[in-house]
Amino acid sequence: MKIIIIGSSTGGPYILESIFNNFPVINAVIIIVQHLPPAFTQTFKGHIEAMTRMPVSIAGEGEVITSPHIYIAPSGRHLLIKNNRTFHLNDDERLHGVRPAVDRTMLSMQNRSDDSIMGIILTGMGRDGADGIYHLHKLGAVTIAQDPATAPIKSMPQSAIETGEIDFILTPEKIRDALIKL
Amino acid sequence: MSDTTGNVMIVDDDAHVRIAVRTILSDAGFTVIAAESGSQCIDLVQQGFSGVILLDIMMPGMDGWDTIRAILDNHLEHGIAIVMLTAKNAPDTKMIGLQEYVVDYITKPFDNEDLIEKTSFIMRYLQDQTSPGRSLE
Repeated sequence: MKIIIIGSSTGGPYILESIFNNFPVINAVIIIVQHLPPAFTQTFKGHIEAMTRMPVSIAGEGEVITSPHIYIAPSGRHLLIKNNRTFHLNDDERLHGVRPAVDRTMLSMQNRSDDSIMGIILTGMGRDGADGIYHLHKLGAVTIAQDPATAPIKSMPQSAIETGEIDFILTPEKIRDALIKL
Repeated sequence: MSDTTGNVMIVDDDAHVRIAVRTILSDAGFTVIAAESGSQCIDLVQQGFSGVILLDIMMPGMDGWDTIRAILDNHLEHGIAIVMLTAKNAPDTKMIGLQEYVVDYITKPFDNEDLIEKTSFIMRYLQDQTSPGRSLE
C-alpha cells in the first residue's frame, strides 16, 4: 500500500487547497494531520472533498485504512496508525502544544515490506513533524519538506530539513506533482 | 471568484497599519472594524464580533499571543478565525499551544492582493461552517 502522511500547521489550509485543487484519483492513502481550530476540521474536509474525486473523510477510531482515500486527522485527538492499517485515536497529552501532533502519527508507522511510504512537512510554527519525518526516513520513506521560502511559517519545514533526513525540498506545486506521479 | 464579504477586525497598535488594512479590505467589500490593542479586541469579541481577526503580535501591554489566550480562556473563539499580521518573521515560544488557533500568517509589509486573498480564503471557512458542503460540478 502507498501511504502518504502530510503534516501541516499555520498557513496549511491555503497551501493544501492549492495542492489538492482538481486533484486526480491516485492509488494511495493520503493522511493529513493539520493543526486547526476544532470548528474548522469539518469545513476543511468539505473543501478538500470538493476538489477531488478521491474519497475524503475524517479518520475514525478503529477504522481500517482503504486505498485510494484521503483521511484527515480529527481535531483534538492524536491519530496513530496500528500496523500501518488501522487508525487509533487517543487523548494523550499534547505534544509540542498540539493535538493531533504530526509526530505522533508519523512515529506510529512501522516497517512493512508491502508498503511504500512518503512523509511531507508543510508550513507551520514550531518543530512538530521533525522527529516523525526522521523516523519515516529511517523506515525507508521518501521525505519532502515544503521549501521554507514558500511557507508562511518556516519553522516546521526548516526543523524537518535540519534533521538531515529530507530527500526533497519542494514548492507546493512540485509537491502536488510528486503526489500525482507517485 | 473570491467572496469578499464578511466582518474583519484589524488589531494593531500602529494607526498607519489600521488605516491601510481598513482601506484595502473595505474597498474590497469587507466590513472592517479596528482595535488598537488586545484588550480592545477582547471587548469587541465579547460584544459579539464574529469574523476574521487580523492580529498583530507585538503590541504594548497585551500582545497578540496574550490576546489569543484571553479569547480561549473566556471561550470566545466561536465564530472567529485568527490570522497573525505581523512584522515579526519568527514566532516565539509564546505561541506553543496556540498554533491550532492561528489559521494563517501574513508578514508586514504585505501585498494588498495577498491580504485580500488570504482574508477571503479564511472568511470562507467561517461562512462554510453554517453552509451545506459544496460538491463537484
